[in-house]
Amino acid sequence: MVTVNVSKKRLLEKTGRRSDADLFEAMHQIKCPVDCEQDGNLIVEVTGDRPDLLSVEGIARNLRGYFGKETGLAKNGFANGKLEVVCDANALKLRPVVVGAVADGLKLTDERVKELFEFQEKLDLTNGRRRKKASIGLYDMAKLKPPFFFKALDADKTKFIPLKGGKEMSLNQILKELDKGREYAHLLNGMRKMPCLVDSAGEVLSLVPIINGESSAVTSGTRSIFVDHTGTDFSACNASLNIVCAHFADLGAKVTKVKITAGGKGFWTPDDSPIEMNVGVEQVNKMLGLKLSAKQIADCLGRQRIGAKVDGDNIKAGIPAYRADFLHPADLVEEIALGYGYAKFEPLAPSVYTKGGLSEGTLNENFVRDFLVGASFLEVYTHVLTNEGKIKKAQSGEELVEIANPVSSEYSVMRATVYPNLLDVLSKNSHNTYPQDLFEVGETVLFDGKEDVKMRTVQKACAVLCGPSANLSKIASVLSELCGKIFSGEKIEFVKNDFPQFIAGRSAAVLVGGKKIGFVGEASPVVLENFGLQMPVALFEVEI
Amino acid sequence: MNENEQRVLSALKAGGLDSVSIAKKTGLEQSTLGSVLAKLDADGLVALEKSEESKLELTGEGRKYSKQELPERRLIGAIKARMLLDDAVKKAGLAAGEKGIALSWARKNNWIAISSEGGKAFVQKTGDNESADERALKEISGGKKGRADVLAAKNLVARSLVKVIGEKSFSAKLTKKGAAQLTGAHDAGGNKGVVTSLTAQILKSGEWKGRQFAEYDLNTLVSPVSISKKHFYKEFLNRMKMHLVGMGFREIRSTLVETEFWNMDALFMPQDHPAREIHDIFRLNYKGILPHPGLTDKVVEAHERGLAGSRGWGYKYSKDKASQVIARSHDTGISARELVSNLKCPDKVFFVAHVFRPDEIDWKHFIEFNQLGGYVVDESISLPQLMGYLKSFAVDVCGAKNVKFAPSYFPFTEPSCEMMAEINGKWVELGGAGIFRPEMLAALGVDKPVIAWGLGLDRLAMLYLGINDMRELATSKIELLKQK
Repeated sequence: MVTVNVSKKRLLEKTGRRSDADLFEAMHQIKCPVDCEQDGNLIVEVTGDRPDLLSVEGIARNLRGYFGKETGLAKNGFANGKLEVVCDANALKLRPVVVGAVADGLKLTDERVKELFEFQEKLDLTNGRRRKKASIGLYDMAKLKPPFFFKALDADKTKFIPLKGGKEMSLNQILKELDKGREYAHLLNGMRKMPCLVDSAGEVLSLVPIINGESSAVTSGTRSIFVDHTGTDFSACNASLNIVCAHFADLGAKVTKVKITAGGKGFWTPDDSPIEMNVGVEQVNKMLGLKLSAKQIADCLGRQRIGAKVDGDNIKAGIPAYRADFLHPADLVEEIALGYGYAKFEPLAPSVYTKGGLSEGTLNENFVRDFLVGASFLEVYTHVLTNEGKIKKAQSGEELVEIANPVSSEYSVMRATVYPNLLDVLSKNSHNTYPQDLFEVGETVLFDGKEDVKMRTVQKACAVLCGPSANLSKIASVLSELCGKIFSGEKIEFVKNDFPQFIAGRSAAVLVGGKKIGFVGEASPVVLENFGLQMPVALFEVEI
Repeated sequence: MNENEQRVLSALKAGGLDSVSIAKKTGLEQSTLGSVLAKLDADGLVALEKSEESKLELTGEGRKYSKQELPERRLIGAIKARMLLDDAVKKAGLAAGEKGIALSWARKNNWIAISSEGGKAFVQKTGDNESADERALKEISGGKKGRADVLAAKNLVARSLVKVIGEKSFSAKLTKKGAAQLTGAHDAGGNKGVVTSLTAQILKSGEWKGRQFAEYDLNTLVSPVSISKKHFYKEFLNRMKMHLVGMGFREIRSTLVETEFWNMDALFMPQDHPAREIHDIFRLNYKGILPHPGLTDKVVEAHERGLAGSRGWGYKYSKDKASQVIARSHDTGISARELVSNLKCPDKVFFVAHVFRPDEIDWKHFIEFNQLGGYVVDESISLPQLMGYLKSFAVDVCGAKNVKFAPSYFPFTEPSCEMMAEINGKWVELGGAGIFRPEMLAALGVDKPVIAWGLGLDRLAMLYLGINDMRELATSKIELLKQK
């Protein structure tokens, strides 16, 4: 989900609606639901597959189709223009894709320019994958001298005044000193020469994909815009360029293609030819559980602004070039469902018989929970994420399963044992009456080189007695009874074993059929002190 | 007279005792004992002497603050003119957990006014008189104690800066009336007394015959008991599981840690998908092992060039990235594993999965939570069927009155849909579903259509359990565990 701000007034104008009566529901039905309304602006949540809906123009274009006001492919066939961008081979090694277009006859206002920049930023973030795959530049054509050149320029010697930078700076300086420079510096990691666009007068348009030059900045006075996309992936750049061009065309501009020349060969961008895809009527009706005719299917596609021709039992679809989300005919089927209207589908009650059942893990878990509640233990539920401090306080000898990128030092490790969490709960309840006998059955993570993920998820049962009369004998009696029930027929042994968390001579390893499944003991006074507990604690923890 | 009262009277037979000794002798909890003694006192059976001498002691946090001042004092000390709240907090050098404390108490003390402008919070100083808390903290750290301080320190106790050592204590002794009652009750030999406790001895000897039993006072019959019970949230999860089993779904489990391969690649999520970025996934510093080449290569092909009539994502797949071990970030990877290892048709599968995702930590967000998800394999799968399953989850499992459907987007399903449901008069986003993409199924060798579905559990649990803070689902409060 990406959030975008849209003026409600503009959206109503652009769709020819007088009121917002059915606007919100319509927007929900075309994948851009309104989250809330603030001072005449709609905060819209656009699903990740629809970057073309990141501007009011794009949403209005789809809504006009949804309301039946204007259906089928938008007529955006762009003619070849006059501008050429000549690409240097060295620059293409640094950033292999360059495409561009020109929009003439624009009438902008401060508000339109603000919208345009927000739109650009959201596209860079989503479709452009934070400018890595594709990044957008917008320039005032009137301030530049064509043709343009894409060059690799020296990072120290090349200087220009970056947008809002206030002074002339070298490329390296920009990466170090400006916010945008630091944010995206990793994309030009350690390059001695960096990719730049320059005009015929030697003016630097931009250091891509970082920042534009101040001299060609777009303002409300701009009538003609050159838009470029550079990146690593042609389809991502071309799709995004088409999205921006469709936006300009809907603003009333005349969009023309730009000639990109590299190694003596030239080609025109954007490639705006519709993407051809076919789907069978039968396949559509099977997936949607409907009985639509070929004509009805074509109409549904038209409402989603997709061109559709009926060809016998097939539909030949022409998907606009600004839609980058079509990989398979299944994508067309969803588009047909959207054009038909999700709200119109009648849910079918489930009718397939299969035998249900709980997993072995849940059956075991519930058995142990029933047993321990019956033995007067209160159940707690704690988190799997914990921290090294808590584990150390509990003097658990476990190897730490650390999170490489934690968001909080409180939750930086996945637990391998449960008992530190239970001691933590006890430490927060010293104001309550004793005894406090608690248990948890929960999942833990243990290292295991034999597993494909190098770790094993193990369900453990842990119970603590905390009160004046808590001792090893009492907790071991409970454990012995429990093990006898779960592992009936197997030999259950308590084997002398010292653990750092227990008083020496007052703990044991628990063996079932000769296999070690856990431990039982009286918590050492050091551990109790670490948790601020002034009551004895006896506990066990076993794999179940 | 009830059992407890009888025990207390007996304990006092030999002479007056303090409450600790009575508790020891009778085995009653202090909290119960208080009410029993009060009752006996009111009935004139014992003479009660209350002593309310309590000792106050600083907690670790209290000691820290008595040395370096309370957070609200440090905050107000940092505020000069009207300034950005964030700046004031930084200037005051407040630790992560202290900001909320400082703000809330500075406000209660009428020290600050907060206003917002342009989406930013500003703070202004409105006073800085020594607060009652500060005075009390000073006195307690100076070693003063006594009843007056208990009152002044009430706030500090609530803030966990001070604890009260030694409960209120009582001492009690039998009155004449009490002594007479006791004699009467135990005068098993004579025929005059009433029986208050039916003992094994009385039964054995037959002494009860012809004797009267003391009546219970029904007004004081019950006293609080400490119970042990199952956890409310675990029970909620269990109820959800039983509903699903009732609908013919079988439960499976999987591992808490996963490779990116199973968590995402096997679901046809491209490796540069925004949800796979570093800030959306918890990584572990390990590399796992990819499945056998027959499977891995198919997944690579689906991503790079496309399978089953798809164009594919058209990028260079990285097996190194695929082998990265992560904390499971969503539950759908479990479906991929099960479809590969145990494909049946028809089949209905569900899981309650613990998942981890970096996020803010507040009342409605936490970094680990539970998802209820699953799949259905059936030859005749269609969008209305999928909506039918979702609707029955909403209506039959969650008790919703109405449902609404809208399109949605998941990288691994097409078409996809989401469902809003009306529960207890509120419309909530309940879950999503879709038909698994052909590329994903082809790569995993699944030749049947499969519906994938998922419901968010934690928000739903909050709605049902009347909990307003997600963190309370894993509460440390024993009182709450017993009460819910």
